[in-house]
Amino acid sequence: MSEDTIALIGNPNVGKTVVFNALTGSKGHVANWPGVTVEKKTGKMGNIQITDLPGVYSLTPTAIDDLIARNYILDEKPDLIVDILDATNLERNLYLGLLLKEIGVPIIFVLNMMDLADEKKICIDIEGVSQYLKAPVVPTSAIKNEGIDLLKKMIRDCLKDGLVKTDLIEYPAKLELQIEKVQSYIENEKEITKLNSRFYAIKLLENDAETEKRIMPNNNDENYSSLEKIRGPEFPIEFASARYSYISEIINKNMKKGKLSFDSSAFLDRFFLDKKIGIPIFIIIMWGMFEFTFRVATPFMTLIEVVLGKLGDAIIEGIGESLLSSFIVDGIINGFGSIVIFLPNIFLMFLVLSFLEDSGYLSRAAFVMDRLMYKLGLHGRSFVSMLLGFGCNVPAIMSTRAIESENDRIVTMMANQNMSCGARLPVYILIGGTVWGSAAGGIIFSLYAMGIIIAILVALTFRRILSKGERSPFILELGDYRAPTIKSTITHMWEKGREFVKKAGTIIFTVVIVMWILQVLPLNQADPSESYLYQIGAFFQPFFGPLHFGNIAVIGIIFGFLAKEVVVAAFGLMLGVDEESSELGPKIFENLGNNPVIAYSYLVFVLLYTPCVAVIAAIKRESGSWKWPIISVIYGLLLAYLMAFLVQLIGGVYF
Amino acid sequence: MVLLSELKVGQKAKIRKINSKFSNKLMAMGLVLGAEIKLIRFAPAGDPIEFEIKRYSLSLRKEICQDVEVLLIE
Repeated sequence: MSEDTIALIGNPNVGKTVVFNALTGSKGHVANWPGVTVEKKTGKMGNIQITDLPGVYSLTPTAIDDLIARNYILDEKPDLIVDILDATNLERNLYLGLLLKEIGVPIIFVLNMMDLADEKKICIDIEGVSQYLKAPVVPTSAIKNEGIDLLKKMIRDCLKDGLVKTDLIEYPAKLELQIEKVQSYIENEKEITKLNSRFYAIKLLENDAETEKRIMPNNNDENYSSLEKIRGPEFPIEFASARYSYISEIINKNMKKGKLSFDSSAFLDRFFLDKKIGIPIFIIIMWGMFEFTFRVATPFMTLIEVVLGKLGDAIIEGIGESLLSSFIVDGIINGFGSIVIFLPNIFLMFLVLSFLEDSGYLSRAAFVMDRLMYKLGLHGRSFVSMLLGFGCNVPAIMSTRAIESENDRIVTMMANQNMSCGARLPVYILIGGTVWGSAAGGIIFSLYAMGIIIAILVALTFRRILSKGERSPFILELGDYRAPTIKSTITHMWEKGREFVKKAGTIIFTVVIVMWILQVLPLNQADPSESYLYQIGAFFQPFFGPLHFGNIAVIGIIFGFLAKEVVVAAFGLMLGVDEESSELGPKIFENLGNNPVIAYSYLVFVLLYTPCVAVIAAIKRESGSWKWPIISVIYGLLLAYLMAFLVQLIGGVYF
Repeated sequence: MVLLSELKVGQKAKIRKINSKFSNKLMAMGLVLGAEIKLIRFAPAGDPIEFEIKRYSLSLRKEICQDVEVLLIE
């Protein structure tokens, strides 16, 4: 017998992921940014397979998330659906509930956040709601683990005994009559069962294009023309109204709300969304985030450097200088170090972002920033993607999935690579520190600023190219603020950070090992310049001749394409010195002609040239074709070359 | 005839007609005929706009509000 499958579904921000974690015992991702659960996540509760579907408001396939959720339910046919409702926002949450009921699959409703509902003096008659929904309703406070055992028991019982009814909710007679008619037209189609014919009939009446493609692909037969005769523009409105009036009845009969003396969300919004201080607060929060990340990360990074350096020395001392010790120190420890050195930055960045997401501020940031982002050819939601780009462009690209229109998504993806990710920073620090000493901070800041400006120009350009396509509407819920718990913030940070380590870490480690091999081959070199690594640099160097980059600098660029984290490691390998060595900076500078302008143009090049392979893969995955990653590589290279050239031209290198 | 985009801060209205490409999405978010909607505030840059509908907070760009006809209450 095949194992049972259940699917979790619900609006964004209803604590669905917390319920998922409570059921499966696995640590998941809790967020307050609408649409953040974009990956298909599965877990196990005993022998029951649980799939966490994206947070959606409806099943209308205008956004990918809706479509993913809907197709999963229709095609994978889970044995049971668990719809999670926010008890503090029941009215809007029930809309999706009714849509799900229309599909006619077995369903359990979970009334989550009962603790917050209590705080807001919302009183709900669970039994009454259950009668209206014609399905079991389980109250929970997942974050406090309350009601989870009851929910587990309910899930098991329902799967075992088939207790869950698929009773339908009836709409006004006039609509029911039309539904029945359409059902009779489509009954012979291949995908239709007695249960879901009602769903498809309603969708056809609502002019749902996706359903039409599925059910009536050749729209010229008799049934289609009969359908066309009934269909009218009034049906979508009438169905939506019928659902909401049924919901109003549920609410009026089963929910009481006491007077609240103090609404903390409304109070906070008076500051965060204020006309005068809303934007300054936003800027301060962003500035604080970077300040915090870099300040706290620095001592950790120093510590890691020292520890790894000592470890390398100890190994060489222990086993002597040989090919093996070189492999361990320059290959393995170096490769490992290239990943570990970024973890403080990446994890702290994710920590702050998780905190902002969980608190509910990020949707406010989108609200405050939308006007500006819109003018720049982007979307309020692009803002978070751009911000994530400072950490790592991979999660940044992935987060564009929450944006509805394909064009908005593409523009956001194309602009993103110019947001200077954490991996580029060590290159700035190394060269910046060597060349400008204490003034390096300003230089680094100018690079970040240049990245932002270029991102804006790129967004505007792509917006122009794609102008025929429509833009996403801005329809965003501003959910209540919530005090993020330490546990959920840390879990959330860990989830994202771990994903980065897995995805980027494997590539980085492999690249460093490959670089080491290229550096030691052929064996018995009389001079380091005989190594394959050096020769690769020499091969590509002429392309960079006009920019005056030496071949060590060029090697950094070549391998940085695989992972920007390895640029500094490549320098170290080529020069045969530790990554942490103080000789490294001056030697690179020498390779750049000891000229500050060339050094700066090199940093500009590193900032702008092609995203790394992990990002390219992410763009391919998210855009669904090779077209966009190829464009991003080509425009990146051209732009980097041009800008580096301009820097040198203005800096007087050519005269 | 009043458009949703013409409401002032604190004003309440009922949804009368939606004429938008995104009407399905708007209806899912609670903008159905007769639903009560209240303008809470404008974003610092004047757009988007925050509304209260169906007991929660929803923000919409002015552009889309021009596609929604409402009936002022009081």
